[in-house]
Amino acid sequence: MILPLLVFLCGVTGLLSLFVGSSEVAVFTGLTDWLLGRDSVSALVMGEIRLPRTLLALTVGAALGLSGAALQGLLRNPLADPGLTGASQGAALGAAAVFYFGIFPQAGAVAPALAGLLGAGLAMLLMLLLAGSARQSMVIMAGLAISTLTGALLAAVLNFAPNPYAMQELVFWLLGSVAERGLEHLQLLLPALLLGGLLIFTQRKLLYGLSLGEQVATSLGLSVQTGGRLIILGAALLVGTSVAVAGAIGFVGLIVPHLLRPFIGNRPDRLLAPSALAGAILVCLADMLVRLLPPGQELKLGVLTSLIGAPLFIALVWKERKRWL
Amino acid sequence: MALIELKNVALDRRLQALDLDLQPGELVGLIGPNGAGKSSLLNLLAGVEQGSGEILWQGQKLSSWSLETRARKIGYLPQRCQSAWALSVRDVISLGRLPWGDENLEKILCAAQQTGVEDWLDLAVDQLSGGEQARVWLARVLAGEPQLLLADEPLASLDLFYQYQILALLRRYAQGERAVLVSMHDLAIAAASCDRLCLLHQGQIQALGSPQQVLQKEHLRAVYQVEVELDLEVHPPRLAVLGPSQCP
Repeated sequence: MILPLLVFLCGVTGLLSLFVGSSEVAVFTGLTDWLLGRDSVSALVMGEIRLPRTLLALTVGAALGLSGAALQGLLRNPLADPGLTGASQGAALGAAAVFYFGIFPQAGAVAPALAGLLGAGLAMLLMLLLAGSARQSMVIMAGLAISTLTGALLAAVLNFAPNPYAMQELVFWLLGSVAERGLEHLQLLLPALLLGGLLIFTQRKLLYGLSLGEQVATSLGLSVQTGGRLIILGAALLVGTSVAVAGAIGFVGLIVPHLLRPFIGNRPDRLLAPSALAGAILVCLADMLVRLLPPGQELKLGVLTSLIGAPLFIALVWKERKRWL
Repeated sequence: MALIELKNVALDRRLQALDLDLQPGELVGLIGPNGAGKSSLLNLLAGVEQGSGEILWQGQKLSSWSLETRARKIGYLPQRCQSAWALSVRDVISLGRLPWGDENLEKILCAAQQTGVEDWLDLAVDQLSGGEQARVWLARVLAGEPQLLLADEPLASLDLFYQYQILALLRRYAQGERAVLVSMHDLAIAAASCDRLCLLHQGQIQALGSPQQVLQKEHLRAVYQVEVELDLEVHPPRLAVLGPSQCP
């Protein structure tokens, strides 16, 4: 029952998002003009600013929500965060390399995203090599180790910033935002969302079976090791690309699955699609809120989601703590 | 023909050169002290761990089967079970249908009725007591209708009434083409309910046969280092531990 409702809400949020901005624009005329290739101010605003921003917010949110649901299911831990794969920090390091060393100059505005994707991929590869064929819980340790390594490298890069502007640019980028990005970013994000989503959705049975532990899942004929690696790969792809495109947007992957769990009877396999949709709605709503705030220094989307997410996270830890007392 | 036959099966240092068979319609009890290899043997048969040697299922090599086919034939109830999520009892039982790729309501309900958990189908499993949960985990295995049911100490957290009920259920289950291999610590219960017993000691089979053949003072002295008083002729059989055996 919750899935159709979320699809509807996602559509409504996306549509509403097109109406929110600093200037008054005829939304539908602008969209039609842009689609038909007519030159007009509203076509420019819709095609270059609001549509890419809305679509990016939706896809980034979907990617984060889905990866969170998948990782929490795999690790059987409601506090698991998609950043655990090391992919987020890897992506940040990749993007930092662009700001400082100017790699991929031919890619233009997409360069940080491309380098971020590369960084995420490398970090993920290292993490998988380090975790080896050991139990899934090792993934947390390996992810933490790689995150620490990439975090240290990122700190070193910041330490030796060539000039304050490069540093400021990087720091703002790391705060997370879907503003000032174009449809070319969507071309990076959408295939990753589809492929990562596909990898995770093929392992739905495994997520369900793992509810009772790895022993039971194996005895139910599920390939825990291979399936687990596919889920991590899919999640890292989703998180890495999201961070590469939009910077760090925290807590979405952690909180969204948790909020939805009671509505789907706590089944990890039924949590995937609703989490993707709710993640999309949440990030899009948060971005609308960012745009609705008074003009001036813009509050970054990642900062807002963290400000909202952190108290929820604290409440979650509190509740979990009481459960185990 | 044996339902399942183990030939020279070994698992690192935990199991060594095991030869064992289970016939259709048999309830075989796996007994032995802690660390004897009972759980390892069940893990191996369930496919949770890979060992060496040959396991034949009605004459066919088990290793040639897909994981799914194996899971349809062999159901496994591990010693410790816990649900990571507050799943409903219905969802836990329907996990048993995973190898079949369906959530057959009739079979789920039937498994719930067999274990007496049908009134709690919509309750979250973590709201139940340990003994109640133990019956739900067993219902999950029954829902898959395996031909061979492996249960690792299924009586451990049950009160006397449900110990009796679950044993009677396993006894009924081991009929026709089906067989049950169950590990347990209570030797008197094992003697009363099992067709055959397999006494494990340090990863090897110390004795295999009818309760009368296996539960002999010298076997128990060698394995458990205790002196016992046995009377297997009465019903139910009586077994009392007199004290630790004297070192020779």
